[in-house]
Amino acid sequence: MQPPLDQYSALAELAEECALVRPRVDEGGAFQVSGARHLVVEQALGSRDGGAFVANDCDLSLPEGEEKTGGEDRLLIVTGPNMAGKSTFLRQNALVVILAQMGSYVPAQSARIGVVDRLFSRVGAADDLAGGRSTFMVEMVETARILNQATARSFVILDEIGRGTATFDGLSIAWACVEHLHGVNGCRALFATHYHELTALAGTLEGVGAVTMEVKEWKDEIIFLHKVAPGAADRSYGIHVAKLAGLPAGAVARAQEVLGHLEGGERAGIAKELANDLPLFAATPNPAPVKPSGPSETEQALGAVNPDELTPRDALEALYKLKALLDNDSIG
Amino acid sequence: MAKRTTRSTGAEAARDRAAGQKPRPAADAPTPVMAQYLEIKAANPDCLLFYRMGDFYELFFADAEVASRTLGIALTKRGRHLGEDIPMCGVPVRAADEYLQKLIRAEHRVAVCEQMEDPAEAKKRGHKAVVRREVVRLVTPGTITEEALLDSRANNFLTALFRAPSSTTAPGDNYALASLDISTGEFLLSEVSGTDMAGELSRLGPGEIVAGDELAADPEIRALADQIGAALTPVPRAYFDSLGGERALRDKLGVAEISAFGDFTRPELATAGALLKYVELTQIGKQPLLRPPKRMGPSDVLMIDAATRANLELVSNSHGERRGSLLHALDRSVTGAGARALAGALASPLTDTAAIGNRLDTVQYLLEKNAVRAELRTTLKGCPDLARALARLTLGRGGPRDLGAIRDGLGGAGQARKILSGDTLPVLLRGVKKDLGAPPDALPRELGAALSDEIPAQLRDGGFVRTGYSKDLDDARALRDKSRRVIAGLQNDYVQATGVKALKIRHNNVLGYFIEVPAAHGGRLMGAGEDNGFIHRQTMASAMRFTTLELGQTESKIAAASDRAQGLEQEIFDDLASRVSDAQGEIGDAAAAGSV
Repeated sequence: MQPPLDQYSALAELAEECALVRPRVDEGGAFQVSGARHLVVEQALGSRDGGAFVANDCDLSLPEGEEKTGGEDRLLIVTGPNMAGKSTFLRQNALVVILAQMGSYVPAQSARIGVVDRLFSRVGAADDLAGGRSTFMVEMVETARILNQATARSFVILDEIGRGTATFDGLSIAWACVEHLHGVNGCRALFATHYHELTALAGTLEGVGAVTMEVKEWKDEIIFLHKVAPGAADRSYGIHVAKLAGLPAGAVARAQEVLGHLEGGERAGIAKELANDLPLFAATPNPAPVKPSGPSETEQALGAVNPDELTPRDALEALYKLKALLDNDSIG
Repeated sequence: MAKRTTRSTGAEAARDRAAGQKPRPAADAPTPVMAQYLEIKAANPDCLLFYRMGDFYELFFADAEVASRTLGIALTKRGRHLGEDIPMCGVPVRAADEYLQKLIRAEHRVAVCEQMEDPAEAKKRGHKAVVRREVVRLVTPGTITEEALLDSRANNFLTALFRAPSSTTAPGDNYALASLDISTGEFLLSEVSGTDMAGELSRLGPGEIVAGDELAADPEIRALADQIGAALTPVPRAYFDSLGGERALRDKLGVAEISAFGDFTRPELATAGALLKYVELTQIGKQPLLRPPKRMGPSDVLMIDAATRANLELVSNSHGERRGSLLHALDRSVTGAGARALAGALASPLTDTAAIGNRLDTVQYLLEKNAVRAELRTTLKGCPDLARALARLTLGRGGPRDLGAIRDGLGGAGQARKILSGDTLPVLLRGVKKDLGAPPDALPRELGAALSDEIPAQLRDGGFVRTGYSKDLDDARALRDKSRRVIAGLQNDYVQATGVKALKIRHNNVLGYFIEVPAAHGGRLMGAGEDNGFIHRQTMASAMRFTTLELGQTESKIAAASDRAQGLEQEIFDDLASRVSDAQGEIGDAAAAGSV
């Protein structure tokens, strides 16, 4: 009997047992959570006091948030090696939203949350066992839904979107999704990816930041610290993970060799080529763009636009791209 | 799957089918019982028919084949029909819940057909007369109330789904949903856009979805139902009628104006109407418990679509199990009802910051007041599932233990109210306290006086009424017990009279009470002839059995007194159950105390 009594005393019991904290839920645009944990993973790891679970902060805020006390970013690009805890970090923040808005204390040291109207969470197709339809198709259908439905008050976590297709396809889609979430939806979002190229957007788009899962290298081994820090991962350590998983030593050595080739040559070359072809890459800080003679990139891009073929949304996107190009032109 | 698409509801289809049966040649004419069976089966073609025969529910023909496969019970034969053996299997009535559960899990529907009169009554109409039987209930995944069939920690919603015609104010597809947990009376209404419909359905997680024929045939809806593990039942489109729905709501809720509960849209009313109609169809006229409808619109709840719910493993993990879900990790509730409320809150986080703040205030209060919380939890732990007991009693499907649950639940409510005596209660707890005090004092007192400490599971087991509650019952019981002592005395007398120390008075279902002596001594009783009154009944290999006039008379006295005691207990049960039913609103308030 008395469901609410039991419900609330159960939540109080939980709060005491798991050292939860009362969140502040308001109409603002913040998502400031410090020392957050993932209840399920934490319990799976065993005792909290053993310190097995590494707590992490997350600081997002909408530009219209009346008092900005923390970060300036509303979208964070999360990079880091596999197994370093990207997915857990993403999900624990989504779960904090749910717990807070259901009226529960949350697993964190402190939490301030501007109320969320819609919550979205997607994982790239590689983790998805949906049968029948192409998993990549499912991934794209679901991603489309997010880009179409998320409002400025929504909270989105995307985990390795674009993984289900070829590298450059995937990268391009991921890139466009970040831009869309940032420019059109304008919502708070966490975007985990192994496309390190995406972190370039953190430098160019206002309100986009980058964090990475810290890793320590020690005697050719890697140690996952499970700690989120500002910045971007410099590589994905996939081969280390493969080694951990027991891939035969010969295969690991060969993979290392191939990686060396790719990094030294072809992929870098392709990326450079892409940077020239795609205005998207014009913003990357590294290879300084060559100042073009004749019509500027912006003018060229504008010339290529045919207004009759554009939907209003396409038009808006085109406008964003042009604006980005213009900024770049003036820098260069 | 084919089972679903070919399923048709309504008596019309049944009559068509019955009419379509060709007259059989006389040689093949079914027995009267089989003829009755065929008629009832024809009226319920989409269900497995549980046909009551004495202590068993029997299944015949294809039903028997399906059930024996699903339940792993033996398939036998009984008689012949149209020149073929009739396959048959059966389940004992006492264990029927367990078998029902398996069939419902396997997404079957079951029509329960009971004997509506004593076989002796039927015999009066002639020796060929068949006991009158009627289907009293359709058991479907969304309409179960039995403890054994339900998960105590999860709601079991029946959800009617309606695609509203698009209008100028609401362009595109809109869906209205009306959901009832028949086992608790919780009643929810909502209307969402097409894109949010899947998320809304997975928020509710119904056990059964009822939709118009056309919508139910939509591959997307069918895939969705599969995904959330709900049975999908098509009903005629005409069920969705907003005027009829409004009328039904007014009737069932006992109000003159439905607007007392909020402004419902036409699609919502139409959907509620279809829901109530389907409930009526499956409950064969019995009135389920219906709490005032709660309306939740897209702006009231944090919208979380189906994929996100699955991805975040909110209430079940990726394998559909509770373990590893957020709910499993956070659930510290001590009652089934608390667990259901917690699961509901987790599935439907709010968006109103003031309402969220109120909830957090409540948690904070209970966190800070350690002693209050500990006392509350101890009290709640001892409380039975008030809501489900109430729902069963209201539906006329309760047992004596449900009355016990009401007594203990209301007792617990009173205690909880006392514990919440602080003067600084947060606003939600003030509401809880008010609702806890709602049920009339008289009822718990009456139940306390009437119910014995050890309550049997079944009414017919007898003994649920406390001695001293009813003089008539006490007299009947005394007579029965006295006569039992008389029998014990008789045994002594007969031992004395015959000098056979091994003489015993025994009882079995065939002979009733009888006197048994070892075969070697049988002659002594036989030889004594008629004068000492021993009448020979049976000769066994090692024993002989007798009766006497006196023994026979005492036995009928016992039987009569037992019958009378049973009848009186039934009367008392019905009276108490109807008193509970009359107070359903207040008891329901206590059960749902302050659920916001």
